[in-house]
Amino acid sequence: MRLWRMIFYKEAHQLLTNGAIYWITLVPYATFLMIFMIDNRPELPFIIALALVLMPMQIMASLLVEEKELHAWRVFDQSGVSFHWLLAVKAMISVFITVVFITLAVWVSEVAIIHAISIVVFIFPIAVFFAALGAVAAAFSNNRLEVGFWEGPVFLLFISQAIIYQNLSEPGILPMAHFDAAIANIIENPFSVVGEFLVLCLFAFICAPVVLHLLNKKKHSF
Amino acid sequence: MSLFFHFKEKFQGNAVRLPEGEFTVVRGEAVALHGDTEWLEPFHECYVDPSFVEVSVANRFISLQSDGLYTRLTPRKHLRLWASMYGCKPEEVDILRACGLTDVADRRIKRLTAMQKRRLHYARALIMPADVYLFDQPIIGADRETKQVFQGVLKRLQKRYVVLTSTSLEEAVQYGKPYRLHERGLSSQTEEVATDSPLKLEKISAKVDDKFILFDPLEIDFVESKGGHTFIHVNQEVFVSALPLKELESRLVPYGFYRSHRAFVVNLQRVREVIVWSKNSYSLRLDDRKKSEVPLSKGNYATLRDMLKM
Repeated sequence: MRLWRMIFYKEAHQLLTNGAIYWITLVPYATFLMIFMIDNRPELPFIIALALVLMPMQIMASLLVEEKELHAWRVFDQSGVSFHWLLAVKAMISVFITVVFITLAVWVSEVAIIHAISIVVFIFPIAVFFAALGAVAAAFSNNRLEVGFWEGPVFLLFISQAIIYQNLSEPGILPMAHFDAAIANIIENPFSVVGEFLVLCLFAFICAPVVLHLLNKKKHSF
Repeated sequence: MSLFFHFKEKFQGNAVRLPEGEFTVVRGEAVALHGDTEWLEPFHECYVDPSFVEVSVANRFISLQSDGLYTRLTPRKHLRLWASMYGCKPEEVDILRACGLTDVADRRIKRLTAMQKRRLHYARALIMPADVYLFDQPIIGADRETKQVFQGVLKRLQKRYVVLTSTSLEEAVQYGKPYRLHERGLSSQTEEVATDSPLKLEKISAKVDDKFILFDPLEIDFVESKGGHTFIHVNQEVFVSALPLKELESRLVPYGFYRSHRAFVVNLQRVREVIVWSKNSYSLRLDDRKKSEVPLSKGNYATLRDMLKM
């Protein structure tokens, strides 16, 4: 418990003065505000998807690669603080920031509380998946600049398929279409997406050991 | 009371990464291991090996040159972080004062100078309740204040076992009982110079502060005479010898040294290249990291050619 507290203490103090994290969170907030100012009823699925693609991956990668840049982790490692604990704390922080933003977006969009909770629960495995992707990006990068090379293609892929989705008459093949439909269904009836939710959980469950294996192989680089 | 350290031979392929060695550390008297980085790095890896010494790994403090700090924290927050990590409640104000960090206690680490950051690493030694402490190159390139702080830290650790590692022999001699770590293992570096010592003729002495350092003749790269003083060049470091060049020459010649110039005696085993600049100008390039050049006079060039059958 003491060691958990210690890692949280470090992360919290580092995070409060981390300009990169503020910048990462600013982009979806600014997009959300802009859409909100133009159209009083912004497209909620797009905002949620944007936050999911941008925030957990970037925050996780940024927090983790910083350990490499600072060479400060060795001291903690020697004291018996496990690498998995570090990963868990950083993943919790990145998922937490994402969830806070999405909750805020859902609340502003005047969605009923039960539906808002359902949306947050639904997006949780997706946030975990993107955080895991961020961890992999950090493991294979040496600094924040290299992390950017990983994030760029993911973001471009998201934006391009969002544009295609807007212009296609039958966009059923695109992930954005499924996500859009799922969010709309949750607002109608939260229990109608249990099947999709279980698939997402299974996907995250399969990804987790693969990511942990990759990270264990790269552990020495931290 | 003393503590016995033993490290086993380490191999990488067919090459020895670290030779076997052992040494004893007494409380209050630091031991300083001097050697090249290629030997010191595997030694640091050994330090966290359970069989290295009869002290649990959790009770071994290690401070390496590569250790970093969380740059957005302040020294005070870092001390609290370490205190929480080691489960102790140190006297924060006292440690900050001892490390000369009181004025910058609440300044972010990225705004500290390199010396202040180094002193913050010393502070970790004062927080961690360990039995054995290892400092890697603690004062290399340090300013006077940092050196004083480090001496203060060593005083506070008088009841503990302290090991220092350094690539600088001078640093090793200043702060502890020096040993040299090389391909053949560990060898003691200093001894009181006894006039009747049977080893006297096999060692070349140089004085640093209040100690004499004894070199193996083969450790020496070359000897230079300049401004009435004799300088011994060893592993890119320079030591002043009390002996004149002529006497050193007579003692070193049996070990393969050669008077290449009126002011230089060079270890021929270290010579990699004989450079002919012109008909009358020659020099020798050594096989050290700096690729040092030593002048070779025209008269001695002919003799050297015969000696080396060039």
